Amino acid sequence: MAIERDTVFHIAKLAHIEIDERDVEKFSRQMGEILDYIEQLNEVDISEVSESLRSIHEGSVFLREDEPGASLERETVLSLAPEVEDIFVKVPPVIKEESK
Amino acid sequence: MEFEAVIGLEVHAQLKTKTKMFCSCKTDFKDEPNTNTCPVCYGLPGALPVINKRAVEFAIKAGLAFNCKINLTSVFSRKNYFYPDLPKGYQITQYEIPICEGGEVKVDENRAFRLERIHLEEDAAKSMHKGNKTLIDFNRSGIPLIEIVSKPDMRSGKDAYDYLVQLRAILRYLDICDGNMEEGSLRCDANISVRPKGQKELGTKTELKNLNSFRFVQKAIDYEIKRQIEVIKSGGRIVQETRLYDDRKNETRPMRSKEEAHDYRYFPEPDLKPLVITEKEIEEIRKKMPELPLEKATRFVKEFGIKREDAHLLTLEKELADYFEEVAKLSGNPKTASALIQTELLRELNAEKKSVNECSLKTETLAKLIKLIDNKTISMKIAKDIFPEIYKTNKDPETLVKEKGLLQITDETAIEEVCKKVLEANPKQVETYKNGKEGLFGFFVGQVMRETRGKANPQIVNKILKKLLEE
Repeated sequence: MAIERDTVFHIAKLAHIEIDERDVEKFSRQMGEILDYIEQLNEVDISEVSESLRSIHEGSVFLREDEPGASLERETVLSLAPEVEDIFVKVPPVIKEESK
Repeated sequence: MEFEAVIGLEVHAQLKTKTKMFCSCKTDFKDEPNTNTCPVCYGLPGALPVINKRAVEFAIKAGLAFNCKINLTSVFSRKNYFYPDLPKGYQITQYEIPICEGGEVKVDENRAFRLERIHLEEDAAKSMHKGNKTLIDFNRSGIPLIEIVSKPDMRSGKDAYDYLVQLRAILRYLDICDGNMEEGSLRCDANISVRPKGQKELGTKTELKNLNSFRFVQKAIDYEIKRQIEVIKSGGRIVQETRLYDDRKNETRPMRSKEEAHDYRYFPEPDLKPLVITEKEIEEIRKKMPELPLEKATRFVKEFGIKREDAHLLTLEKELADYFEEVAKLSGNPKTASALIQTELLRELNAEKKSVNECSLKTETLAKLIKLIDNKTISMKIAKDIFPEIYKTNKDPETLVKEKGLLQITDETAIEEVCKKVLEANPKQVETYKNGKEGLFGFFVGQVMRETRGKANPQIVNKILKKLLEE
């Protein structure tokens, strides 16, 4: 079942992906197909199956002592960024105040 | 129509751990930009978060101080959003099951504001907005935070102010956050709506950001309440939005962010199992809980007989409370200790923007000064006059008083002489006084004090002047 056009646009927006109006129908069909494919899992009868897979959300987490360790060199970090200014990562402006 | 404001606060407190929430990068804010990061901070493929034990302890401490229910099992989730200060594309936070629920912030004996929850999360990077660009320092990303969410119980800017003052005091007593709003280790967002008094349903809210002092929080909230009421009264509608406070103009303005879609798609963090703590661990932490500001204030009232308002002010900072307690005990006069600390000492400290730990005036010295007043060696006035010098030099008050010839005159014959001189020099006033204008008495006292440069013991002056004037 194809998913709705609005949902396709919403997902694209959240992922910061620009999509072309012409592709929307194709995406909505493809996304629907993916969901249908996964949906097949619900058809499997698991009533007779004993625990074969434990959720990662069982048990408890390991805690770390608060002791400092090594960090990455700044050079390395900055080389990963698309744009750099001085010792900072540079990105397009994120805040625009509405002018009065 | 009368309106009522409904205010809830979200406070983010940076925890004073040595390392980040999920990795062992350092948290020192004085370090050079972009030097404290690692693959976990950036969420690089294969990097796995590991929870900082001390951050968990600190959150439990806060939970105990605010009387929350501590959840033995809590769960971390991913809050997904796209923003440059968050290179992973999500923030690890607690959503459905936070570490602490409920509780309250008591602001005095019979006033408290309830809490919704306290949860653990990681901070985002620091962005510096510079016109056509934004510069980012990732050192802050991943520093542990607790977010303290109040219930919408506050009704005014003053309520919010009182709440924050006590909240900050408690976090500092617990030594889990340094509470510095200017440096951003304590940050506050306010949710505000108004509704006609008596109405149950909440009005549309706005969220206020950029509130970097408690006074600004109070002013911004009061401004926003007024604005919303005006909009409604003139037939308009409140738009749900985030607004920024401008302290120079004392007004709020809508903020436009490029993040338009608020759809966080929370889901349990697949890299972290649930956080499980035991009753035993909680009890260990409970045993180490310090006396909190309000408890201390109550004890000061009982133990030292000082006024409740004074006890409140003296206990907001633990260091000041300790200082007062020492001076009170050493001098044996808590009331004078309280008065001198609140007026003289705090004035000097504030003028130099110093905290009491940086104060060169030792508690022993201040106690000596108080003893000099109590044994009538000097008057209160003289004590206040020499205070600035003692504050700066920590000089022995008795030596200073002797050097300056400021010993109080308690010799009745000497004082009587001065009194006689004053009355002889002002025959007119004496007559007016005797004709019933008793208000002039203060004038004679003032003259005697002037003659003796403030050194005459006021009680004796009063006594002798009365006697002479009645002759």
